[in-house]
Amino acid sequence: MARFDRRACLRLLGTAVGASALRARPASANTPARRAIFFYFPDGVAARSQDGEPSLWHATGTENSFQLAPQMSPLAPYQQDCIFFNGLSSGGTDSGSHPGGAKKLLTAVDGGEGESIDHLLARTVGAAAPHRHLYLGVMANQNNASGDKHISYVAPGRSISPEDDPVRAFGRLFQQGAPPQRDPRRSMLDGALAQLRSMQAQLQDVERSKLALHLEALREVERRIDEQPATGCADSAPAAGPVHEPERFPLLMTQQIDVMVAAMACGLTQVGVLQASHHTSELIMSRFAKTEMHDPGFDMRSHQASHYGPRHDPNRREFVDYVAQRRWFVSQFAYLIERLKSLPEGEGSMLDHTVAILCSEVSDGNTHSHDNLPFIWAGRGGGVRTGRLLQTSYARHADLWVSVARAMGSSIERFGQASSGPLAGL
Amino acid sequence: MAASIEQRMPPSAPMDCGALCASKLADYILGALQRPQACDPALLPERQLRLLTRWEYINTVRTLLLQGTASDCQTDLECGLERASCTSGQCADDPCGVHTFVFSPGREVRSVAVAGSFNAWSIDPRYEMRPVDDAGDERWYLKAELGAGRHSYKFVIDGAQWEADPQSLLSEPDGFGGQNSVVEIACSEDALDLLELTSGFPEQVRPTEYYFDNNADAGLMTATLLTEQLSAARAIAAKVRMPDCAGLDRSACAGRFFDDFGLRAFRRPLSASERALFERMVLEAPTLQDGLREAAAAILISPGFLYRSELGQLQPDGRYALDGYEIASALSYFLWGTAPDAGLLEAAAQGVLSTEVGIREAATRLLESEKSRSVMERFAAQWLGAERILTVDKRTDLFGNFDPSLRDALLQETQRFFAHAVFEEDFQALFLADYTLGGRELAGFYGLPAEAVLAGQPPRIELGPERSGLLTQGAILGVHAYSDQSSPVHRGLFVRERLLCQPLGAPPPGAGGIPEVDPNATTRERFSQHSSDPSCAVCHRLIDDIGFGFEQFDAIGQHRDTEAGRAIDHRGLIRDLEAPGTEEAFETPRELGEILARSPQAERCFSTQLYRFARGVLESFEDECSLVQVQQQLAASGDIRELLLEITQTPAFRYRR
Repeated sequence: MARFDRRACLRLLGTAVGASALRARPASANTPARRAIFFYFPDGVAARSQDGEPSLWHATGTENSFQLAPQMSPLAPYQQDCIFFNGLSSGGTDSGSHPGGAKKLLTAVDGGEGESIDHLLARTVGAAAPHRHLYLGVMANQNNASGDKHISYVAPGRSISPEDDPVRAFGRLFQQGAPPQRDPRRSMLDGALAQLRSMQAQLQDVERSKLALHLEALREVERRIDEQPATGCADSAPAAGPVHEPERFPLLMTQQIDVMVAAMACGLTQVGVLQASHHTSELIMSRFAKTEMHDPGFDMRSHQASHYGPRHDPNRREFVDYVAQRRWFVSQFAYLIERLKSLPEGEGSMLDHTVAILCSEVSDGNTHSHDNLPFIWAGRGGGVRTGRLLQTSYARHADLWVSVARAMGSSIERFGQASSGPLAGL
Repeated sequence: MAASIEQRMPPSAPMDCGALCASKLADYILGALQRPQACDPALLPERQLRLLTRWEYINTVRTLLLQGTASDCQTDLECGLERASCTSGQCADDPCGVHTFVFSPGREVRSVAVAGSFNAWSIDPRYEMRPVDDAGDERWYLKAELGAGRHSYKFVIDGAQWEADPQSLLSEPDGFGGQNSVVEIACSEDALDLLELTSGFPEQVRPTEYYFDNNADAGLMTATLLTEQLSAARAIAAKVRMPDCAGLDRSACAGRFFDDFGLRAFRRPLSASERALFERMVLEAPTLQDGLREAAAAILISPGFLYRSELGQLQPDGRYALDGYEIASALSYFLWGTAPDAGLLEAAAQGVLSTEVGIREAATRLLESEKSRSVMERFAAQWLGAERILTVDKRTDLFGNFDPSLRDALLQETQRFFAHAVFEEDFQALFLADYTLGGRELAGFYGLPAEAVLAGQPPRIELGPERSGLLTQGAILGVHAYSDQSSPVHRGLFVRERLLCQPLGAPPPGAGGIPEVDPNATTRERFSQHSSDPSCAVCHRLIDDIGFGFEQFDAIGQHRDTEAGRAIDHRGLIRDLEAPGTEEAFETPRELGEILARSPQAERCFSTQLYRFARGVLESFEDECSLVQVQQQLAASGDIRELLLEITQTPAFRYRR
C-alpha cells in the first residue's frame, strides 16, 4: 500500500492545511514508501576522447575520498548524498550509436527487447500505488520523436511516450474529483474487464502482450477510482504554457521535477522516469536565458555540441558548450536532490527513502562509447551508504538495476540479458 | 558463422560484437541470403488487434454521433433529418442554431410555411417547408438558422391556416386565445470539441523507420490513455442520440439501441454476452435515460470499440479470413480514417465483402468521397515529415516572416498537392508538376506575383523554373533544415530514406558535428569535410551530394541566388540509386525530379510506404507477395488511386495465419 506522508505534504504545501484536506491515505510515517526515479538526459558527456584524453566527467580518487570533475560541479553540495560510478558498461552491441544505447539503457537487453527496469518495479514493488508508473518528459516528444527515442519499455520492443505537459500531468495526478456515491465509471470498467477476459480466453497466444497490458491498465484505473482522491495534497498547479519552445525548457524541467516529487511525496506513485529531451537531441540549449550557454545569435543544439571533435579542445565552441550543457543537466539533477532532501520524512528526509539515478545513453558524446557510462546514484534508498566512488571495471549496468530494485524492496537476482546479481561493492 | 563474426568483426575492433550480437548478425545475414526471390503464398501476416489512433478515435466518434448512419447521402432524410444535413453528398451535423421544423399535416395540403418571432410573423418564401418526399412519408420539413435563444412560431398551411406545432414541448399564449409553439436553442454546451477532449491522449509511438502514427505494434493501452478515454467516453455518451422508445419497455428499448449505436460503435453486431452485459446496465440504472447513457459510455470504453479487429475466422485450409465486418472496417479505416458507414455495414451483413470483386467495388465507392482525400493528406504529412513545419524551430531574427499563418499555408500546400496527385494526376506528377496549390500568401513566399495564382478551389499557382513538384515545397525544405541554415545532410537523408527507402542508420562513433555558420564560406564548403575524410565519405557520399542540389533554398525554403557573396553551386549527384556503382548528376530540383519520377526504386519505395500505412506495420517476409503485387500495379499504371485499390486486393489485406 502506498503511503501518504502527512509531514511531507504539509511541507510541500508550505502552508498549514486542515486535516480534512489530508485524507488521501492513512498516514504511516513509520515505514515510508521506497521510491525510484530515473532521470535521463541526452547525448552523453565529455568522457574519454577519441584521441584518448582522460574523461572530464568521471570522478577521481578512492572510494571515500574523491574529486568531482568539472561537468559534475553542481553536485558538489550533494557529494555525500550520491554514489559515483566508474566503469559501468551496457555492453558492446550497437556500441557507437545513440539509438542502440537508448534501447539498452533501462531494459539492459540488446535492441530494447525487454521490459525496462522502471516497469518491472512499477508492476511489482510499486504496484500498490495509485499510479504505478509516472513518465514525465520535457520536449521528449518534440518533432514526433518516438520509438527508440523513448527509454521506457512496457514490454519487449515496445516503448511508450512520456507526458510532456506538466499541467496535464499535475491534473491527472491531483485534480480527479471526488467520486460520486454511485460511480458509473466502475461499471463501465467492469464491463470492459469482462470483455477483455473473454477475448483473452478466446485468443490465447494471439496479441497476448497487448491484452495483458490493457488488463493491467484497467485494474490500475479501477483501483484509483475506488481509493480516495489525493485532492488537497498539492494544490498549486504548474503555470500553463507552450511545451515545445526551447526558451521554456528550463522552466518545464523544473515543473516536471516538482510534479514528480509532489506525486511521490503524496504517495501517488513510487516509480518515476524523468526524460529530458531525447537522444540525438536538436534541443537548442543556447536559447536558455541566464545560463553560461546563452547566445541568442547562435543556435547550439545538444547533439551538435556532443560532436565536439576528436579531442577536448577549449578553443572549439562545440566543446565549451558541450561541457556547459552537461553541467546544466547535472544542475537539474541537483535540483531534484534538493527537493527530495527538503521534504522531511520519518527520521530524515524523502531522499533517505529514494533512489534517484542520473543516466544517459552513451558515455562520450563524440565516440558514442557504451562503456564507462555516466551513472550517478543519489539517495539512501532505505539504507544504502552514499558519499562513495565505486570502481566497477566494466560491470554491466544491468547489475546497477538489480541494486536499485533491491533498494526498492524487490528480491530479484538478475535483470536483463547480462547481469550477474546486485552490483558488487554497493 | 557466428563464431567467425565474434572473433573477427568489426575489423576496427574485433571482439566488440559479443556472442549474442554475433549470433543475431549471423541470423540476419543468413536470413537475408535465404530470402525467397519469389514470394511464398503460404506466408501470411499474424492475426492482430489495432488500437484506434487518436485521429481514428476522433473520426470514429464523429461518425457515431451522426444520427443517420448513411455518411454518403442524397437526401437529408438519410442523415436522420433532425440533426444532420446532406451537403454535397455527405451527411454533416447541423451547426448549433440551425433548427429543423417537422410537421405532419395529416391531410392533403399544397404548402406549409413557418412564421414566427424570427421573421416578424410573416409568410416568407425563405421559410417555406418542403415535403420529405419519401414514399409513404407525408411530413414536411425546414432547416432554418434561428440562432441561440427562445423562438416562438406557428405553421401556416396553404397560406391561410395558422396552426401550432403538435410536437412542440413548449408553448405560450398567442394573444388571440390560442397557443404559439416555442423552441429554445442553447449553443454554449452543445458542441463537443473532440480535439480538446482527446488532447490528453499520449503521443502515438512511431517505431524507427516507420513514419506514421498508426503502427499496430506500438498502439498500446496504458493507464494514462485509459484515464483519458474514460472521461472522453462519458462526455461523448452525453451527446449520443437516444432511440425513440415510445411504447417499448426498457429491455426492448435497450435492444433497439444496441442494434443501432452498438452495431456502429463495434463495427459489427454485438455478441449475445455483450448484449446481456450492456442490457444489465440499462435495467439497473435509476432511469432509462441514465441506463442508456451508461451503456453508451461502457460501449465507448470497451475493447470492441477501441480495437480494430483483424483476427478473422478459421477456414478449412488453415488460414484465417477476415469476416465481412472486419473487411468493412479495414476498408473504411484505410480509405476514410473512420468507422464504416451504413453502406459498408450493410454490405458486410449481406456477405458482399467476401470476394475480391466485392471489396474492389466497395473501395471504389469509398475513393469517390472527399473523406479519402483527408486520409491521403494525412499520409503525405507523415510520410514526408511535413507535419513538423507547424512546430519546427526557425530563428525569428533571421526569418521574421515565418509566422503560424505561413507555416499553416505550407502544410496545406503539401497535403492538398499530394491528394491532388492521387486523385487527379499520377506518381510522376509528385516530382514533375510545374504548379502547386495555394493562395496569394504562398505565391508571395515563393516570390511570385499575385497573377501567378489561378482561380480554382483550391487556387493553383504556376511555379517558376526553379521549383518542381513536392521536392521544392516550403514545408519539405523547411522541415529538413536547421533553425538557422539549410542542411544538405537532412535534405539528402530525406531523399534517401523517405523517398527511396534506403536507410543509412545512425552516424558512427567519432562522427563530426555540424560545421558552424561562417559568413565567408558557403554551406557546400563547410560540409566538404564529409567528402574529404574517408571515414565520413562512406555514408555522406550517398547523402550530401543529393542535398547540395537543394542549396538554392535557405532554411525555410526561400529561393536564393547567392551565399557568402558568391553564386550558389547547386550541382547534385545521386549515387547507387538502382544499383551500386551507378551515379546520376543533376543541376536543378527539376532534374532530380526527373530522375526520381522514372526511378523504379523510388516507385517501389512509394508503394511500400502506402502499404505500410495501410497495414500498420513495417513489412516482413509475410508481406512479400502482397507488396510485390502492389508495386507491380504502380509500375504498370503509374496511377496512385489504382495502387490504393490494389492494396485492398492483396492476400495480406484479407488473410491471416
